[in-house]
Amino acid sequence: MALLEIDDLHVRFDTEQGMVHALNGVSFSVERDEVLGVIGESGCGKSVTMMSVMGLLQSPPAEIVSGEIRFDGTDLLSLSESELNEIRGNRISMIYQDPMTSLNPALTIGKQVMEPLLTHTDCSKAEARERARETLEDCGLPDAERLLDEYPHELSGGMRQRVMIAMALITEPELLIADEPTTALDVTIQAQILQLFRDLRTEFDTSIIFITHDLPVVSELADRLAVMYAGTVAETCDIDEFFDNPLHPYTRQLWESVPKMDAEKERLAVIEGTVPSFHEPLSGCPFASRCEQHHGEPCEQIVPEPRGVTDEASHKVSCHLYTERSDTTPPWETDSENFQQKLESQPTNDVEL
Amino acid sequence: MIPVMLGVTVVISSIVYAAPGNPARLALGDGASPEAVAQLEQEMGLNQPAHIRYFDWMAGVLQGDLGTSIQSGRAVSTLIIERLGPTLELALVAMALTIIIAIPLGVISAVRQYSWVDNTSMFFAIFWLSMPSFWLGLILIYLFAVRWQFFPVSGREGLIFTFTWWSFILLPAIATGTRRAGLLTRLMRSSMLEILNEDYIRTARGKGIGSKAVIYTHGMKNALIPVVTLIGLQVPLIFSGTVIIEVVFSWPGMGRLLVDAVLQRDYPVVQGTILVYSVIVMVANFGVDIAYTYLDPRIDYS
Amino acid sequence: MEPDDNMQFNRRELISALSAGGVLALAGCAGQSGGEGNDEIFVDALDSDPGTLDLHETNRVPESMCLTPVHERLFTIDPDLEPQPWLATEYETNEDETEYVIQLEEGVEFHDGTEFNADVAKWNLERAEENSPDAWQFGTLEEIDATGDYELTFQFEEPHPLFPQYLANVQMGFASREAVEAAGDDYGQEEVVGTGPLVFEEWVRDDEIVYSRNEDYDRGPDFLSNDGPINFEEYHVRIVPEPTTLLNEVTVGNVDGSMMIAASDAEDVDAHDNTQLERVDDAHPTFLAINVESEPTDEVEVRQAMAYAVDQEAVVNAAFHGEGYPIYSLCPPMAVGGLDEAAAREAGYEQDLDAARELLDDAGWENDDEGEVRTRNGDELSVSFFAFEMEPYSSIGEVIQDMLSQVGFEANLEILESGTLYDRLEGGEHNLVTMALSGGYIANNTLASTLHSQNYAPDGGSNYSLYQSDEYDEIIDQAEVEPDDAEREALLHEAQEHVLEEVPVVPLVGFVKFYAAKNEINADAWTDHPWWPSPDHYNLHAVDVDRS
Repeated sequence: MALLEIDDLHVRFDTEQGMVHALNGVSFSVERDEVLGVIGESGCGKSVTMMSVMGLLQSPPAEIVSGEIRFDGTDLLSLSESELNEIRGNRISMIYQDPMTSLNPALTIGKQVMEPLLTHTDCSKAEARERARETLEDCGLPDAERLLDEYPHELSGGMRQRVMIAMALITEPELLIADEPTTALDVTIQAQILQLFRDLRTEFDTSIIFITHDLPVVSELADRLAVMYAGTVAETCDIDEFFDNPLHPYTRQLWESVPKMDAEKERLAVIEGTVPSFHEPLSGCPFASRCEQHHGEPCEQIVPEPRGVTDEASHKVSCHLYTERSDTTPPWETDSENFQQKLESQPTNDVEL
Repeated sequence: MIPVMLGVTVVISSIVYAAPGNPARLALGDGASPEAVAQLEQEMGLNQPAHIRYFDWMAGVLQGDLGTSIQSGRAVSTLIIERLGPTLELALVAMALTIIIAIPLGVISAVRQYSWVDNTSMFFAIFWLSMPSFWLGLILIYLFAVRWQFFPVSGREGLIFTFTWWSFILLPAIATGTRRAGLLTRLMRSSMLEILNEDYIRTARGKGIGSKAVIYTHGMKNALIPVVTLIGLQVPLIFSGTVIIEVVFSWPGMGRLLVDAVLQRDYPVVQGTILVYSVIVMVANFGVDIAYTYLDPRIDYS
Repeated sequence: MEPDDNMQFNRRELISALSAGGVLALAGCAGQSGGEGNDEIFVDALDSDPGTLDLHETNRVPESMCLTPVHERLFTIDPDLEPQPWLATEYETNEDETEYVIQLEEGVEFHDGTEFNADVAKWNLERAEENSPDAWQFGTLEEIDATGDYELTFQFEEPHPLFPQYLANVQMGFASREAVEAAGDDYGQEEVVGTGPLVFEEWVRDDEIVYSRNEDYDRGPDFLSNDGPINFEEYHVRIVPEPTTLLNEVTVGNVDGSMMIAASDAEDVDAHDNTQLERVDDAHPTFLAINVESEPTDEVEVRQAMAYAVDQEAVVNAAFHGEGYPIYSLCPPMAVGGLDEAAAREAGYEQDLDAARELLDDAGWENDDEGEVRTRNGDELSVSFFAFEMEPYSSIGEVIQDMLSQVGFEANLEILESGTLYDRLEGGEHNLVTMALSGGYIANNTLASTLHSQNYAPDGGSNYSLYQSDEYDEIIDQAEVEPDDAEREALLHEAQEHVLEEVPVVPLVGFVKFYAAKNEINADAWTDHPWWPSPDHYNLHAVDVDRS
């Protein structure tokens, strides 16, 4: 049994501008001791999915319409607030996007880092303080003892993100969700934080969901990948498959949009078209309007289900190129080993989707 | 602070001197002879030009002498000291009641937005605020002292913090304070609502610490910052409110002294009491500044 | 203990305990709650705090009421308005009343144990003459002599027939010389020592004044039903400035009685189950003072027309809630020397709009239509009219304004706060002003302070009509020194008729005083003295508290 299984999750928001269908059947799973990378454009539902896991969606306006989120076999969506509180911050922790706003300006670092431990375990304040100091040091913060009594405004952005990470790790959670933990930071700090994640991976036996824009980061950290598009999961696969054998047209176009080292003077490849409006429930493949392999009625009218198409059981794709709904077959080999060679070049380091 | 105080005294004095009415004549009463009036004017220096009187008074103040009442011939400082205690009691209890009512109500209104608590507190906020405290005082007396007889009608009795003392101070304190509570409740609510949308509140919820701890540990201190500002702004209003409430509830405070002194044009008493009121307000504002440093570690006055 | 009181006490304690919450953990024992449930305490209420309790420094009503039971005087006024010896035993006067020889009571002690004798009495009266706002009551005093241990002799330059009456006022009372000298400036603030039935204990500013009973007292005036010690152990005077609060205190609160009830609340007190109310006509007049110096009220016809325009009954109803009585002479009939009502109506004015219009027409002030403002040679018949910003004066102003407009006046009414109003009166800016006199139960005083040229307002006096008439001054001066009662009365009547002819004032309404009390107070005794003109005759003496 996977540690976390998300099954056909539908979430919508009842806003003043009308109904917004944010998640339209998201499914993926995270195994124990696995790092899952989640990539996708802004607004594709990555954060909403994670907030659903954490039970942090504000309701109203959010409403979980259907689906299940099973953590270690328990459906999180069926839990009461207090039952959920036994799990989050304890067995599941999250690191949020913006370290500048995600720490409480009125409380000391020590109080905030110790809090999950004091809430979820019986340890004394002194023990909690000692653990907090250790964890801060593990997260690469020197002089942690002094730091415990300081306030967030006295810390730099990078230090704050390390504090956030320490805060998430202090209870040694089984699952750590990191939501674009480097986006708000400048480049050098980003590199340091990523290094920290690499170190932590080896040190803690924690499953991680790592949400990012950054393909190279993903390639280094993740065991497996989920590509999200417009509130759906376009493709999930092992990291090697992602590089060697991307199946979904969106995934392939992603790769093609990455600027190449030897093509500096050409225009960046751009994915033409726009993401569909979220005001209506999906009536077909959400990528249809931008898809180069668009082939008529099935793409327009039937929402593709994820399905395995290769020998790799975990490699699933949601595309009518691979369903019985249409007779069309992909114009590329489905078991290719040499996609990367075709691309001829490695992506640069600062690619963002 | 000193320049502000100085400005206050200049304003007080010019207003007082500009008002028509002869304090000596008012002090001596109807039957007084013209000679007696002239003599009292002479004694009190009332025939001096206003700026000379001001500087004389100021020179005294700097030496801790607030002057002598024209009406009673007693030291203004004595008159004030006799009444300062009751006024402070009333203002502090009013303040405390305001805070005790407004803050929890504001928090509940924010957490249970659009619930009956929220709607009721909204109704009372507007209702109270539009009600003159004089009128509110009379209504409270009518309901709680005349009709149901839970409390005595007026006056001040008993040693501080005894049952008797509480029974006498509660109605006037409510009349002084609750008007302000309405506004404070609404501000606490909107401040708390704003804070509850902050990222760090989401962080706190994600820690699984339970919604009470989220609100009280993480929300409260931050949400209180604008509220404390408003409390600071309300200190002078509370004190000005006590003036009329002291009359309605026969509360033996400084406001009564001030009202009588204004009617009698007893300049030294008017100047002295207003000076003391402004010192109190400044001390209160200083207290608010201290509260800021506690609530918001980003503020550092040192 | 009486079950009802007990229950109310507990309920009050309970509620305050609930409301006060945790702070009450600090609370000690409950304090005592006023006079409630105790026969030995009588709680009175005043509407303003005294400025001083030094009897020789003040003549205001609240002060006088607070001092009356502490300080005895040489004389008191009996129900027939005659002076009766009190601390005096007997007195003699020479034929023209320029010399008084007064024998003093022996064995009288002040509350501090010092002796009352001729020396102390002389010292007190000299102090009064030097300091009191009412020092004019000594007239042309030349000398006070202690002609024996218990005998005082007073010499006057001119006859002073009313001296015994004046000596009955509390400003002429006696304080312990030792106490006054020891206390210095604190006398009348921290310390008050007299010989009377109540002993001053404590004065909490703006809150209450507390007295205890003088157990040895046995000199109450004969005409009171009790001449021994007062019927209760403690007397508390609470200061309750807001009239509605006072009403509530008297009806359901812990105030036992008060004479400060507002006219508008009198009926409520009367009708309330807990209380009783006595109404007593007072010699205290309200009137319109007319400025005889400024146009157009310098014309006697215009002033007479004003007098004809006024309906006193209507003023009583509109401004006094019916709690007053119309007067037709400046001195109400009950004042010493007052004109009786029939005579005043005969010599004076009752509302007669046609007569008013005719007077104005004859004087050349004309209009085409009754509602219009009259004019003469292009000038409008317009008067400036000031009224005090308090009841009943502001209402009087409005009612009178309306009455004057009916006969073609344009009355520009300004309702002013008293400090401002007095300033403008001294400047002579008015044609008309609402006025009242306090304590004027002797016609001489009323007539002199209102219209004698000595009291000309621009010089700081209270003659706001700016009336100056040698003829009038002479009548008043003569009345002041006329030893023969009948002669004096005739002079006073003459003066009032003179006023009715010249109309420097329009008499309006005589005040009614209210004595409000809880039913358990024996209030008939309070008005034991059937004529009840001033705070100097505030009879606590016979009041009894019986809460059973």
